[in-house]
Amino acid sequence: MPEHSEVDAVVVGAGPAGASAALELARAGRSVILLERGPFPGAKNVYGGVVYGRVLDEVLPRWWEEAPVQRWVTRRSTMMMTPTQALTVDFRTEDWGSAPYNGMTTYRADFDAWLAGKAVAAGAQLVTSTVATELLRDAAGRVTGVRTDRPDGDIRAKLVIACDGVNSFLAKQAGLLPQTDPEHQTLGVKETLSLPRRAIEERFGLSGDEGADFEILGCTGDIPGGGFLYTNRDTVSIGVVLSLTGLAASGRRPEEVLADLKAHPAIAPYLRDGELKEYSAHLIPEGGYRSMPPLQADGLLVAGDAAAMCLAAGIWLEGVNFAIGSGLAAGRTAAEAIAAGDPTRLAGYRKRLEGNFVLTDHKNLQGAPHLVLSDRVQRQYPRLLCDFAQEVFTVRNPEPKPGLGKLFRRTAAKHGVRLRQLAADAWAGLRVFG
Amino acid sequence: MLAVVIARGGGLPGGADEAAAECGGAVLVVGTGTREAARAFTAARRIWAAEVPVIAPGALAAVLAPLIAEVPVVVLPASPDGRDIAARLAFQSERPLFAGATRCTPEHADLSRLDDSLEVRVALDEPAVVTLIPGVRGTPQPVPAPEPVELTVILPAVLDAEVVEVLEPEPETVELAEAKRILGGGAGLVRPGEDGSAVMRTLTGVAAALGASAGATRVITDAGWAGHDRQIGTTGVVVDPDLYVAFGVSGATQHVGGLGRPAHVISVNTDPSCPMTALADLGIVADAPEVLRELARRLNGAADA
Amino acid sequence: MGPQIVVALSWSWRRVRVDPLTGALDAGDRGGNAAEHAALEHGLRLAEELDGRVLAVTVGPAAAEEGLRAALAAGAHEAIRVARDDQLEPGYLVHNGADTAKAIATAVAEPDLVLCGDRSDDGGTGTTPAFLAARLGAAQALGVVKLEADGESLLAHRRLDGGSREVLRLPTPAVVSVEAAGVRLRRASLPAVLAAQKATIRTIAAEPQQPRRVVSARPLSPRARELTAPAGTTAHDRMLELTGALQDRTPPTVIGPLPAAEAADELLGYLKRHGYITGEKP
Ligand SMILES: Cc1cc2nc3c(=O)[nH]c(=O)nc-3n(C[C@H](O)[C@H](O)[C@H](O)COP(=O)(O)OP(=O)(O)OC[C@H]3O[C@@H](n4cnc5c(N)ncnc54)[C@H](O)[C@@H]3O)c2cc1C
Ligand SMILES: Cc1cc2nc3c(=O)[nH]c(=O)nc-3n(C[C@H](O)[C@H](O)[C@H](O)COP(=O)(O)OP(=O)(O)OC[C@H]3O[C@@H](n4cnc5c(N)ncnc54)[C@H](O)[C@@H]3O)c2cc1C
Ligand SMILES: Nc1ncnc2c1ncn2[C@@H]1O[C@H](COP(=O)(O)O)[C@@H](O)[C@H]1O
Repeated sequence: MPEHSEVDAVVVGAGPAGASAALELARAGRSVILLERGPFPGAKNVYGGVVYGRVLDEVLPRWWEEAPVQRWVTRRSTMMMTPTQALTVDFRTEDWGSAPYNGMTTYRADFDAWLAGKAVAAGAQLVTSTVATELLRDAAGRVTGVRTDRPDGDIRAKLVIACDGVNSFLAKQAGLLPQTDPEHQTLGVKETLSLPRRAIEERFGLSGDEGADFEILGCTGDIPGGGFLYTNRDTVSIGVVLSLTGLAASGRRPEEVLADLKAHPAIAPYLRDGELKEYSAHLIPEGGYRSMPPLQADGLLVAGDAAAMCLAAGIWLEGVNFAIGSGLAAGRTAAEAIAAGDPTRLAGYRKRLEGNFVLTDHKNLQGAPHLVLSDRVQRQYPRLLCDFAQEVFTVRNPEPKPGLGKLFRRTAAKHGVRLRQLAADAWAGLRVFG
Repeated sequence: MLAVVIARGGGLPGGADEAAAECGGAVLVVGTGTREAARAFTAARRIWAAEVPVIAPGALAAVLAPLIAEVPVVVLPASPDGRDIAARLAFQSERPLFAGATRCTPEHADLSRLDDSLEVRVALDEPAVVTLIPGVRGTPQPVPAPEPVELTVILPAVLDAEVVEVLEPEPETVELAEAKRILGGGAGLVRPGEDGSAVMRTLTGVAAALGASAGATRVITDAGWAGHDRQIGTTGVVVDPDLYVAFGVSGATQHVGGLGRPAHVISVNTDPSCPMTALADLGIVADAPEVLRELARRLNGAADA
Repeated sequence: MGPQIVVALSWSWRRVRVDPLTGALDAGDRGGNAAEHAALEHGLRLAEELDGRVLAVTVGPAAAEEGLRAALAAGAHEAIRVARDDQLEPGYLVHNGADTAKAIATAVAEPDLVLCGDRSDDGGTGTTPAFLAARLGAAQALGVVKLEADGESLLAHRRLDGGSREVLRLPTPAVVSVEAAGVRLRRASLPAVLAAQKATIRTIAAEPQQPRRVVSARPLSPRARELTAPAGTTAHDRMLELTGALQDRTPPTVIGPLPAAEAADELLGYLKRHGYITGEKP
């Protein structure tokens, strides 16, 4: 048997990015090995729970007929809270409940395995329980493959695609990512609680395979971050996303922050009697466009969280669709370069991403992480809005109702929010999000 | 119904009396030292005894099949020898085997499945062989064993393994079997994905500080986090302590079946309704690894334990 | 040519949850278990020592070939799947191994040694190996914790009641079921994993297993144990004894959820009250 294996390309990490990259390569007729350290794709992968599947249109038509869906999100609520109050903007639409759909809740163990299964069906070789431990290079420093932790585990390849997730070991080895970067990462912790299907449907006002998606601001105390609550068929996922530096400064443990959110009067009734099934934690690259590493080196492409492609900006927490989008682009670029006989021609990768939603969205939203994690958005505004709502809705007969404008100014002053600043943030917000 | 019990060197296996009781006291004891073994029954009302020179499953099944031909339901204790012979006997007598029952009547058997989380009842509408899990039934008021009716049998030539020797229990095992205080560790003591060896060492340390021995469930010993000599239960070491403190143990019948009748049982478990806690005098709903670490800190003064 | 060694790998439902109310079943995934991996490792070692061949067999659906490929990657010479797909239903879970043993027997021609796991994860009664021995006319050694070569023959140590062990010398053919003790399955090399993915696996048909008719299936609750009748001489004594009034037995209490420190306080307090610890120590 040979000392090492040889293929056109090796993709490290069978998350959504890696599976997509391997799928494209295999479809282009290239030999590709997809490495995954877990016992199966998705085994250990952690996320909140919603995948925006539009990007899958490129992968296969009518994907919604076979994707492992838990529920289709038809209700999206944005909550702003203080320890005792909550103000919710609640949106629902029937349109998201039928083809071509918008967001689905799905378990990563199912979704990742399904997507990787597509790559395997197209001809990729999936090797699980195997960790890539090192990049192999030639004398000129060009990446020529990876070493794995198996006996005789070297794989020689014309190209390597690193899809090994946040804190990418390979991207670091290639010098594309700094060794540590806590400012641009947040920690997500999440619990999955099981509840009877009926209870979920009644509490969240859902029927059939409809699902709800709550994003929550102002629920993380002194730590910049946010929260989420998603419904699956017979479980709900609740979690918080916390700035690493803020967490360290606060001296609190992430479980405590999550426990507080679970106990919040606006959340607790949704979760009552839910039985804990799973607790998990994972890092999220949250710097956005401004902290993205170079996307390629000689013989190496980086996609998905490994390239900080997760869009995490307050009311958005989308990483899977960006991972798929970048993985497909990386796979296509790689396939073309190999077909052209020049695996160094990788510049098309970035161009592809700039031409589609992946880098366009990131570029447009580049100010978002900064704004969303600012103290004003994190703490002052939720309090201001909640208090304002409370003032508006509190009936103080026989006192007459104050004018709304006056009330708002008064509430703003109480929270030390200067209206000029508010206007500036609103303007920034419009530019960032608008 | 008839209980079939395999005796070794005059000793009865775990669950022998329970199998007898389940069959209304009718027992066929086969093996070595059957005379002496027959006297040890407390739940037998009629005993047949068949002495054979060696315990050899294939040959024993061949001997037993004609003897049970008229008996609709044959019950063996699910001890190592019972399991060995039940399947051979079922095959030989062309009957279905229902293994791992918690209850058996002439009409039906309740089987424990899926690591003791599911109970499936099947109808016994044809002659059958059933194995009964030791320790789940309990035994009635002892009655003196009747004089056995001796049957003469000859082992036919069937291919069986040759017994080289029977080793006495290792000192570790004996120590556990005789311990008056035991701390037991279960799967709940180990966080998913973690190596449980360290926490089992902590358990041993805390046990020592309390003058107790450390035992474990099969989940722990199967994972290699504690030696097999530490496994408490019907297929492990059968113990009989005064005090049993269970950390993250669900209380499966195969575990509790080997636990004897401790005067004091404490269960530390996150699930307030698991069988171990239901059975305990003091059930503490708490995180077992944390509680153990706290105990280690206090009793062993080990900050890192 | 050395011995023909068969290793039987199950494709069981793993991590099955039982709904506490309805008894509905829901599994994590399917696959083998640590005991079967230990069986495979034993088989591979023996084959190496004795110049034998290892045949991996599973009775299961197409997905079970994953387990066979893993066995091939680790060094098994050949793999056969007997096609049969059991459902996750009580009627299948009561199965006793007889049908599976029959199916395995159709796939193997006169093996010298069959190695099995001590028990599978779903059926879990460990009876398949004994049925297989009966069917093959082989000797058996079940629940083996140690397997060693002794000259020409093999010695198997298996556990008996109360911690004693029986040492058996195995004739040929023999069926052995091993516990997950002592050995760990080797790690397959990368080229072997890749080659195994492309290997062809022979498939033979089996009779579908008929699920057994079950009367009921529900979450198991422990059976109330029969009590030894009280031995007191007067009715009054017997009453006291039965109700436990004479025993120093605290009424069962369940407390919590508690943080660790308070839980430790409660635990140590209980031990103190019942005289298991004295003094002021903690
Ligand atoms: C708490 C939380 C909530 C989130 N919520 C959402 C959400 O609701 N919706 C959404 O779209 N996104 C969400 N995200 C983001 C999303 O999870 C990620 O953006 C996405 O998973 C990125 O995909 P990926 O393929 O790049 O990386 P990953 O999914 O992390 O996959 C990387 C893969 O590589 C493997 N791997 C790593 N190193 C090696 C190695 N050396 N050798 C072999 N294999 C290796 C890993 O095992 C893994 O399978 C959330 C994230 C977190 C943490
Ligand atoms: C033929 C046969 C023979 C067997 N023989 C034996 C035997 O001799 N001995 C034996 O022990 N088993 C035996 N078993 C296995 C037995 O059926 C059970 O699977 C086993 O006893 C369960 O072990 P456990 O309680 O450690 O694990 P589990 O059943 O998984 O229970 C874990 C417990 O920990 C709790 N828990 C989880 N997390 C925490 C936490 N953080 N803090 C506190 N508690 C927590 C859970 O609520 C649960 O109650 C046998 C099985 C079969 C089929
Ligand atoms: N479907 C199967 N295919 C192959 N081997 C099996 C199968 N079921 C059980 N076995 C073997 O028999 C052992 C005991 O299984 P069981 O009798 O189901 O507890 C397992 O560990 C396997 O080695």
